[in-house]
Formats: sequence, structure tokens, C-alpha cells
Amino acid sequence: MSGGGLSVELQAKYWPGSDVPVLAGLRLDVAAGEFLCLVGPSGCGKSTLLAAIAGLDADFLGRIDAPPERGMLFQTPRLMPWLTVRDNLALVLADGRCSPAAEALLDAMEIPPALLDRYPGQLSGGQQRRVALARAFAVRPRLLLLDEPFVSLDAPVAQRLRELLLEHWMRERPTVLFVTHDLDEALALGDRIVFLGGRPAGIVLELVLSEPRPRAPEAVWRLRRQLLSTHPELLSGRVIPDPETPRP
Amino acid sequence: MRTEPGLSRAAERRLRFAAFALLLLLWWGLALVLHSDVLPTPAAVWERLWAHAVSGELWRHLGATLARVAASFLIAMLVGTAIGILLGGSRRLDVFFDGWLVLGLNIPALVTIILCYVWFGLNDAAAVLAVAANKIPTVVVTVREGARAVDRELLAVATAFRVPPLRRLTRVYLPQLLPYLFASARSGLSLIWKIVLVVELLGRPNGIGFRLNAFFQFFDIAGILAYTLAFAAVVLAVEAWLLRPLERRLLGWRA
Repeated sequence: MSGGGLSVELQAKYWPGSDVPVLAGLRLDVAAGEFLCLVGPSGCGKSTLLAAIAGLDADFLGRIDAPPERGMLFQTPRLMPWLTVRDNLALVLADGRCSPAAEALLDAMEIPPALLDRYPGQLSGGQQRRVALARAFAVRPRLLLLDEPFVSLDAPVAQRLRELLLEHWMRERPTVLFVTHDLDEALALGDRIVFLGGRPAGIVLELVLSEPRPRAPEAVWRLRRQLLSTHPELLSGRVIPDPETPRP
Repeated sequence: MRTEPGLSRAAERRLRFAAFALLLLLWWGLALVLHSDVLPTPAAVWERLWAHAVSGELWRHLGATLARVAASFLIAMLVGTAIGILLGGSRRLDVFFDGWLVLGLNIPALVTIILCYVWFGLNDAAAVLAVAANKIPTVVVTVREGARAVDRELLAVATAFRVPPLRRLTRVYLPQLLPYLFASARSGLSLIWKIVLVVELLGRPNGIGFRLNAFFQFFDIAGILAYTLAFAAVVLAVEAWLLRPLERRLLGWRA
């Protein structure tokens, strides 16, 4: 596929020494510029799928077509602790230098210029995520991969980071694959939600959302209620145990 | 290196100086009490040092020894680091070569030196090779430890963002190895200069080791101590003005 879309045909992915695949018979097409959320219980293979798409794990049966210009956000910020904020961005840029555009991006992510020469260890957790978010956008990605990037953050900080992500996605329109186990997060952000479940894991449900973004909490709540009334199995724990987000 | 809270750089310097002064005082006191040729006073040793420095002899031998130390140190660090990275990165290679490594660690320096001289002749290449061969296994062990501890998650960042290989090595991989390289360089420097003296004593016509042997023939303890102190001073200077500032600069982010 060309033009920044993503096409995945995964026949099977095994862990070494296991004869039951983690993932099997999974076919996923994401249109260029689409914001796709991948939801499933912890340990179902979402991150495994993401690692395969990111080129971190080549040990699977199948075919993945992804644009080479990729940015990624991990569960933890994963900044190099020995590089300053500026050099952490420079690391991933083509010429190895932190361009004015990249600095502007840091500014847009609410990292004040005074922090550019600090080391990640001198920043707060929220600031580190902002730098990681800036790093992901700095490479001008056509595909942005996010692996539960906002877990273990205070709710307001996570909320602000979601807004920043949405803002930059709207401006740059990369294809987004957002992995999360938080249904509300997926409902707030995605064009489409794909639910993974079962063992070996495959796609159990797809949901297209046409509500405009940003979506207010009430809209998310309404979507959630609608979804759970038509698919009560999502509540049964078979697909979404959702242990960490006991919300109304 | 690291200053505890409440210990300033100046206070640290005073402590280092006090320790040195105490050692000097103990030596001086003991020499005065014993009043014997086998333990000359610091003043006598200094006198000898000064005479050899003025005549230029000290510098000739010191220079020869330093050159050998530098050459074997560089070879041992480069080769040992390369092998250590390979073994730390591959379980298969590690298991295969582990026996060799244990053997290498346990061969006495003297054996390596004699073999090198016999096989390659009494020349500087053989001398440097013998010293490097003694140090390489210990570098390998330390660096292998570092290579095993490398954070795979950070390497994954480099992979995901397609960071070019050279930049990945210098900005993602090697910085994680630096503490191990420094530990290795420190212990390496002190081990290597000791072995170099033995190599010189056994088969070189110059260098501190050669000169110590000559002093030994005449039971010239002042001479032995003078040359030992001269070289120890060089090692301390390298540590204080090269290694420590370099470490502070490269590992400053840990502060």
C-alpha cells in the first residue's frame, strides 16, 4: 500500500518455545491519515502486534506494509538519559541535529526553552512524555505508533497530552495506530476502534466513530453506554476486563 | 568522585591532601626510627630523584615505560572492548569462549611474558603484546558485563526511529557501556604499568623496570623508591587530570 496507509496480514505470531500462537489470522488495513485505536485486555498481544509493525520484531508469519517514516511513543518515555532534551530529538532526526522546527515542536508541547539543555532525569514524568511526544512528531511521521503512551500519569496530565496529540495529528495527519486497554481513551480519540481478543488473539469487533473531535466527556460516556448495550460481552470481561479504569 | 551532600570540592581536596601528608609523615618517622639503609628518608629519595631528573636519565626511562604502557593500554582496551561487546551480545559466543576466557584470566603474567619473548624475540612488539594479552581478558569480563546490562528498550527506540548504525553505536549503545569502560580503564592502568615493569626487567634495555633491576643489584633502595614514586606520580596525574575530568564530563548526566 502507498501513501502512508498501513496494511497488516498476520498469519501467526508465536513466542519461542510455544506452539499456541499469540496472534493469528489477523488482517488490518488502516487508511492514510486514519486514527485507529486498538483495544484489548492486557497481555492479549496488542503490544506484540505493534512491535511487529514497528519493525522491532521480525519473527512472525505474514506481511506488513508500513511507510518507513515512523514515529513511536512507548509505555514509558524512553528518552536517552545521557542526552539533553535537544539531543534526544537530534538523535532521531535525519541529519542528527535539532532543527528549529524540532525546537518549535518542543515549544508546542509546552516544554519551555530553559529545559532544552536539561537531561531527562531533571524533568518531571509529564515533561518527559511531552519530549517523547515531540520526538515522535519531529521525524514528520507518516505512521505514528503509540503503545499505551499515557498510562501511569495523573489524569489531568494525561488529558492534556491527549489534547496535544490530537492537535498535532489534525495538523499533520499521520496514520495513527493507538494501542490502549482504556476504552474511554479509545472512544475519545479514534476514527475507528478495533477490539482484539481471544486466544490466539484476533479481531473480535470493529467500531467506526464519526463524532467530531475533541469529544466531550459526555459524548464519550454516551458512546460507551451505546457500545456496551449492543455488545454486553465487552463488559463480561471476555474482551475488556478494564481493571484500571473504574469510571461511570 | 561523587560529592556527598555536605562535602564540597574544596573539602574533598583537603582530605586527599591530608591522606597523602599522613603517609609521608609515617614513612619519615619510621625511617628516622629505624635509621637504616634499607629505608631511606623521603629527603634522601627526593635527592636521588632530583639528581636523575637533572641528568635526564629519569626522563629517558620514564618515557620508555610510558610509551609501553600507553601502547599496551590502548591495544588491550580496543581489543577487549570489541570482544566484550560480542560476547555480551551473543549467548552462543559467550558460552563457546567462556572457557578460553577463564584460561586467559588465570595464566600468570610471567608465563605470557616468557612465551612472548621466546616466540617473538626480545623486542618491544613482544613486550607490548605480552602486557596487552594479560589485560585483555579482564577488559573482556568487565565490558561483557556492561554489554549484558545494555537496555534493550532504548535500543528499540533507535530501531523504531531508524537511527543510522554509527549514531546508534555512539549515542545509544556506547554511553551505556561508559561506566564499565571507565572501571576497566582504571583497573587497567594500574595493572598494566605493574606488568610493564616486569616485562622491562626480564628483557628490555631501558624503562623503569630495567632501571629498578640495576638498583636492586646494588641494593640502592633510594633509587628504587625514587623511580617508583616518579611513576606513581604519573599514574596519579593521569587519573586526576585525564580520567576523572573525562568521567565527570561524560557521565555528568548522572549527577
